[in-house]
Amino acid sequence: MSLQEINVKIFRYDPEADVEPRFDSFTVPVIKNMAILDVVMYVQNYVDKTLAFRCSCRIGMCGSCAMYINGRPRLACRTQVSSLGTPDITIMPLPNLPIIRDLATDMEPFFEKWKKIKPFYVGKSELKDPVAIRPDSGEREFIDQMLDCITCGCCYGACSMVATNEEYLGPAALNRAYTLIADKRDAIRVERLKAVGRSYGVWRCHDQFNCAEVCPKKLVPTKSIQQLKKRCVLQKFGVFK
Amino acid sequence: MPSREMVASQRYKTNSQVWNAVGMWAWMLHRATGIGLVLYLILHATLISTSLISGAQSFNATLTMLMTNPVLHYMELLLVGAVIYHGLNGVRLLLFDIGIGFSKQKEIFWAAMVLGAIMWISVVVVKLS
Amino acid sequence: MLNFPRILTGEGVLLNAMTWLLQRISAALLLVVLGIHIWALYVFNTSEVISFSEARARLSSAPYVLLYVLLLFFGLFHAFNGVYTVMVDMGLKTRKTTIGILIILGTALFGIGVYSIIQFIM
Ligand code: SF4
Ligand code: SF4
Ligand code: FES
Repeated sequence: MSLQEINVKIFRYDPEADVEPRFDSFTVPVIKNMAILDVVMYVQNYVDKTLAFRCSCRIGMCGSCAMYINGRPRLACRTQVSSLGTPDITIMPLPNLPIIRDLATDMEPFFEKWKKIKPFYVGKSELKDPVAIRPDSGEREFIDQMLDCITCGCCYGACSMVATNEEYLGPAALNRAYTLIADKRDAIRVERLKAVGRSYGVWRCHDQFNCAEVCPKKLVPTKSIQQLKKRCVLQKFGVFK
Repeated sequence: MPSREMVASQRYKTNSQVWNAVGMWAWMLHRATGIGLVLYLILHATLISTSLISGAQSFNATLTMLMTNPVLHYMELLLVGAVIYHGLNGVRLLLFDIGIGFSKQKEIFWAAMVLGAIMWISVVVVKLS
Repeated sequence: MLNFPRILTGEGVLLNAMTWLLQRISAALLLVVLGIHIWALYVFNTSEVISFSEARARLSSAPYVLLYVLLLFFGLFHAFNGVYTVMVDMGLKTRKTTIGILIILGTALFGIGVYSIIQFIM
């Protein structure tokens, strides 16, 4: 599809100055391989300098440019205008997070929850590095797929359980917890498991797959969460140590 | 947390749903049918037991009244539909719980829906014939 | 204020995993038991309306009595645990009170259910 121009509606809100959020419309000329990030940059450079949004790497690595674009959270830098298949584009800030200004959201609640599961590796003291994990053991097969998270928050913004229960840890943090708990070298697995096994943890997930639907890294947090639920139950029966 | 900022974003909370994906709808329908069935269960248990307080006659009278009522007759089709949906989507969820089908969740959903439609339509045919 | 043991309150770590597991177990059981219940209504039910004598005929065999007690218990558990889950999802704060009310309501419904079964047998 070759578009000449697109009509962009952008969410505008400055909590310090505005009473109500509003939408501004812009017409933006399309260039080759244009991503949504290029669109908001065009607006900021040539039309309205006050537009606020966040980005850094521009190649889908840093996870700072997640926005709500035409009906779902996506990375602005990895979303091609042509992939949306329409000249009418609506851009809003990532849902479920406080708005700092316009398209920039405050990721603090996301990372507060991220911290709750102790997102770092704690090695068992009796282990001497490097620990050998045989590549053919299959142990890391599923963990490896789930390590790619760039903490962009797309999943967090897509999960309606986060929307209705503000305490719910959310898919990204639980996914991270899984990669650590499933690691046999981890010294605080049971402690982590107790953190995710509380009522604001894994039990709030109801297999909706919104997170998997939007994850730019194609992770399936739903599956990690299911693995955690299983381990929580096993732990109650003393099978998981 | 700065509350006004959150309030503004809360107002757009419905955005956090991914409306154009089946997983979302499967979950919402599961909720809706579930709540409907709870209400039915309460009504069902209460009606049966209260009608039994004065024995067989009142039980028969109540059931005749309920089962010959044309409106309730059609509403029963809704009930059957809710049971079928909740049951079949429940099977899908149970599959996930034992670790099966994460990469095929949409296909499983549609397969369950086709099966459910066949079951429901056959009930409709039997009931209306 | 109702005072429940820790295991029954929301943050008692045991409760969440166990009710989750029981919800799945009761779901699987209900698929069978409720299936039989609905099927039986059509098989035993010869006329247009279900009659007392037909219901009594069904409940004269012990397996059917067991079936209905199971149906009542697991159906109620599944229903009320489901309601509780929806409420917690919506950010319920008063967990203990809610659990108390739901248990009382559930037990009452179980009671009137058992009463109905006895009425059919006697
Ligand atoms: S799991 Fe995916 S969507 Fe969620 S934060 Fe990580 S990369 Fe983003
Ligand atoms: S699968 Fe679970 S974590 Fe993912 S969006 Fe749904 S409820 Fe949230
Ligand atoms: S700018 Fe880094 S992920 Fe988009």
